[in-house]
This record gives sequence, structure tokens and C-alpha cells, in this order.
Amino acid sequence: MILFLDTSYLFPYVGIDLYDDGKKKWNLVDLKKLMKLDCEILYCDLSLFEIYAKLLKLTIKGILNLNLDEIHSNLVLLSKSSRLTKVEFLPQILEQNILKKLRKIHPDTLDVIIFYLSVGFADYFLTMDDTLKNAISSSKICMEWINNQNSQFQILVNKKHFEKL
Amino acid sequence: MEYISKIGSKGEIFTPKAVREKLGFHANQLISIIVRKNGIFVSKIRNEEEILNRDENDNVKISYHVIKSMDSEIEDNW
Repeated sequence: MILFLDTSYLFPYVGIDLYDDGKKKWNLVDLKKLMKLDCEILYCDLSLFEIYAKLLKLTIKGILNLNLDEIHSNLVLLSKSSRLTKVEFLPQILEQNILKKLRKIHPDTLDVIIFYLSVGFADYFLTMDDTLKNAISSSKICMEWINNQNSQFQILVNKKHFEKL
Repeated sequence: MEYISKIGSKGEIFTPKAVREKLGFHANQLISIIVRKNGIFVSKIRNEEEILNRDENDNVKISYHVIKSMDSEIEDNW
């Protein structure tokens, strides 16, 4: 089994736990459990940039008071993780027509590229973003492309337990 | 803060005790050396276990929606 993580799943690694309406959504304990599973876990190198960019912005806005040196150091460690495998964006073959179609139906370029790579590499894409799944599910062209590329592929939204996959 | 040190006959760079204590350097500690135009930057290399075994309460807690709201800011500022 090969899992591909969307960026949000990586935040606890660098020191940020995610909450939703005051309830725990995804934290370091969850990530550590995931990392203990007997499966391959991938993520895109663009997620490293995305995490840093978001945390920098939140720090500038004064929403978070973070030690950005520590965040950077944790990102370096994540990039060298023995458990989480980094998929590099640039060497991959990119089908520009598909990427354009995906970008048309979803307004975030990083999300689109990360999702695109996941189809080529993994069995499951783990995301917290149901808008991405809904957009793709409603696009016949995108669904056909996914079925042709990887017919077993599934998008899992907000899933926290993976033992039964 | 600046510290003065010297280079040994075999190229060793000696870190003063105060620096070792401040940064937690110890014998056989793996370090990263980044070469810049006018010098080097030395830092401790931590291992994955160390970071994953930190106190879970040390993580900063934030709303997923706040994190997600940064998507458009990044996208708009490409």
C-alpha cells in the first residue's frame, strides 16, 4: 500500500498541530501512528515550501509566534526523513493538458500539482480538502484520466485510521 | 554573539565551551556545515527520533481553517 500525503498531514512534523472548531483534527500522535504503519508514505517536495510559506505568512501577520529557525530546521529533517519519502516535482513527466484541466477546476496550483503526482505514485491520496475531491469527482475528463492512470486510486478526505485499507 | 576560535593543524575548528553548551554539541555529534560566500554556518544535525519523540504538548495548536486560508495568499502572490 502506498499513501501520498497532502501538505496538511505534515504540519505536526514541524511542530504544528491542527484543530477544527476547538477539536483535535491531526496532531503529532496521529502522524506518529501513521508513520508506524507497514506501508510506503510519500509526499511532494513542494509541501516543504508550502509549509514554510504559510507559517512565515502567519508569523508576519502575528497570528502565530513561531521560531522560524526551528521550523526550517524541522523541514530540513523532514526532507531527509527515513520514513516519509519525498517525491520531487521537477523531474517528473507533467501532462500539461491534465494539469491545466485540474487547475481550471481547483483554484490552488500547489494542491493541483501535489494531487497530480499522487495519481502517478500512490494507491491513496490523503487530504483534508474536500473541495479538491468534489471538484475532481465532478469532472468527467479528470475521472477518466485517473482511471486510465491508476484505476485503484482513491482520494481519502480527513481519514485518520488506515489499518483497514 | 561572536566567539573567537582557531583552526587546528589538521583543519579542525574548535568550538568554545560556551558554544558547545549553548548548542548542545558533544563528541561525535553530527553537524551540518553550509558554505556561504564569506564564511560557513555550522549547525547540529538532529535525528528523526529526537524530533518525533519531543513532548507532544510542545506543538503549537492552530485551526486547520487558518492554515487553509493561507492557500489563496500564496496563490495570489506567486
